[in-house]
Amino acid sequence: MSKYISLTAIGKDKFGIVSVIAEVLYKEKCNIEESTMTILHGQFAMILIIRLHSNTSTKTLLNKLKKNSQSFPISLFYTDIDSYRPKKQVPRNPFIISVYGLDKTGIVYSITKYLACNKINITDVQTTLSKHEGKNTYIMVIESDFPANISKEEISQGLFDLAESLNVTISINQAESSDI
Amino acid sequence: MKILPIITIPNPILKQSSFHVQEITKETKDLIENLKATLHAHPRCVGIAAVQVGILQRIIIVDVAQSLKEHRNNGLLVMINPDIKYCSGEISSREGCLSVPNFVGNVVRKKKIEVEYLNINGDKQELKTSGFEAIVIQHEIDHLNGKVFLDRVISLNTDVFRREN
Repeated sequence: MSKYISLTAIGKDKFGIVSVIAEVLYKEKCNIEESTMTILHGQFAMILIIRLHSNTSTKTLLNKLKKNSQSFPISLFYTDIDSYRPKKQVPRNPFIISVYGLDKTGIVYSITKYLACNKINITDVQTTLSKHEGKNTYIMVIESDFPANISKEEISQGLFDLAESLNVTISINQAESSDI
Repeated sequence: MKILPIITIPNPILKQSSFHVQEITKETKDLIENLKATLHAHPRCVGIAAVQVGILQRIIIVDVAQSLKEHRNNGLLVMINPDIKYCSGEISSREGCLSVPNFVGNVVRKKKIEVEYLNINGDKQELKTSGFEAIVIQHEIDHLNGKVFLDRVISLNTDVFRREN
């Protein structure tokens, strides 16, 4: 049975980080099953789901990754994955929730708490701080999966009340989920 | 002609509906000239609504010829009280906005539109257009109705990107 790990690498962005990691994985015959990579505040972050080659141990792989990435100030973490489920499950009742307003602490907490209390599963989130003329506007776009027994109207009302108390704008749209 | 400052989210003015222009006065014409100058002062900008400079009048300027990518277009359009009379089809594209700095997102719009509006002389005009120009007109008319593209994002995976400055 194949063994899978999740590998997280974070460090100051610099040319070549991806290729150094990918080179070690290639030489160790490990396969990248899924990945996400981004730059947050100048920090390059990657999460990889890796299928290990039967002759490669996690310890060997990590040692080689650490050795080869010495010229990058990068932190590496890994977790064993018991059962790998390829590909994200397609949400059954997907909605996109857009939130924007003047930045302040508590926006993410309040909204995600409300969603969790209503058993709404967050499947992806993107956020950014949009800076313009000395103002910081926080933008968060949430991809979520609503339980079948909850209506958009029910959730909309709760979120609009929350928007008022947080002084932000919240929009909900049924997500595009067709395959073309 | 003056380049006017752009207001950005979360300025509450952007959530208000703009008023119909009842009469095209010298002030209206001056505003239109300033909007044109403001649009052309921003590289890559292909459309602007009066509300984006804080004036709640139903006036939009569209100039798809300013796009880096070539699109079929009708040149510089000044539209007063624009109203979409007919639309069909759907098209998804990545939109940005001067009022939502540093962010772009994928939005679905109507592919073809027929829009009625007044030109700067107050003459009633009809324009049939499609593709990118139709998208820009719908984006600007959204502003007149108190909406920004963030209110219309319908997908996230690979669809919403931070804009690198």
